[in-house]
Amino acid sequence: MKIEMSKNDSTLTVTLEGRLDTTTSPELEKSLQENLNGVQEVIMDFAGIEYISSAGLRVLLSVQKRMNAAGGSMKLLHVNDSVMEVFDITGFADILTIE
Amino acid sequence: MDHDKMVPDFTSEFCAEPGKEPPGHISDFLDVCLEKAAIPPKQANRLQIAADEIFTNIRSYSGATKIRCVFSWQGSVATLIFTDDGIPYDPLSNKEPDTSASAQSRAVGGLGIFLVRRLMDNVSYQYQNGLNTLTLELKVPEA
Repeated sequence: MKIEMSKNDSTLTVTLEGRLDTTTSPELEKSLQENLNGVQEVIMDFAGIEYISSAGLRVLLSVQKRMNAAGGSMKLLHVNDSVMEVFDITGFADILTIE
Repeated sequence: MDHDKMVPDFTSEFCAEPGKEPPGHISDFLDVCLEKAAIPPKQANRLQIAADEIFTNIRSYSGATKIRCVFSWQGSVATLIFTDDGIPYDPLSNKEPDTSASAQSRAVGGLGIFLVRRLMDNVSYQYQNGLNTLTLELKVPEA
């Protein structure tokens, strides 16, 4: 998986490419942990994500919780049908901001 | 494309021994199968997600020394059969997770198998001769 992060003031933009599964989610979690300090807004660009499994959901949930606790926000952009199907089934569509 | 008439039936097998690294990636094995069967992205992604969930559960919790996964393509139905020698465990006996909880009270435990059940057309479990066998089936509509 390819992970690109850019930080501008308190906004972290994360551009992802590949699959968010058991193999790749730990990488994303680690990169996020290294970059989330002081961040109030997380923008995740999912344009390059093929699919997500529960391992990826776990990472998104932890970032969402962290943003909620800090009074910040997270939004997901360019989610494909396969990812949206998983969000719908699991109810994540209701707790994430998807544009 | 009327792919199910064009792609002949076939079976392919992947084996892993947890603890003996590298186990190889089940996703790489499946990529080859899915491409060979010409399965469209929507169904291919469902099968990849299901395989990731099941394979991870077996590796993480069953204590299995051997995991076998057989992919078969037969008359427009894709079947994944997972067999392992770990402790007897029927994942279908799991309670369904609460998918309406708020983010703060939400847990991810149990979501994996729940996803598999929703993404596949049929999931069945059997314990026989000391082996857990979980069978996943997905019909692939004609394109």
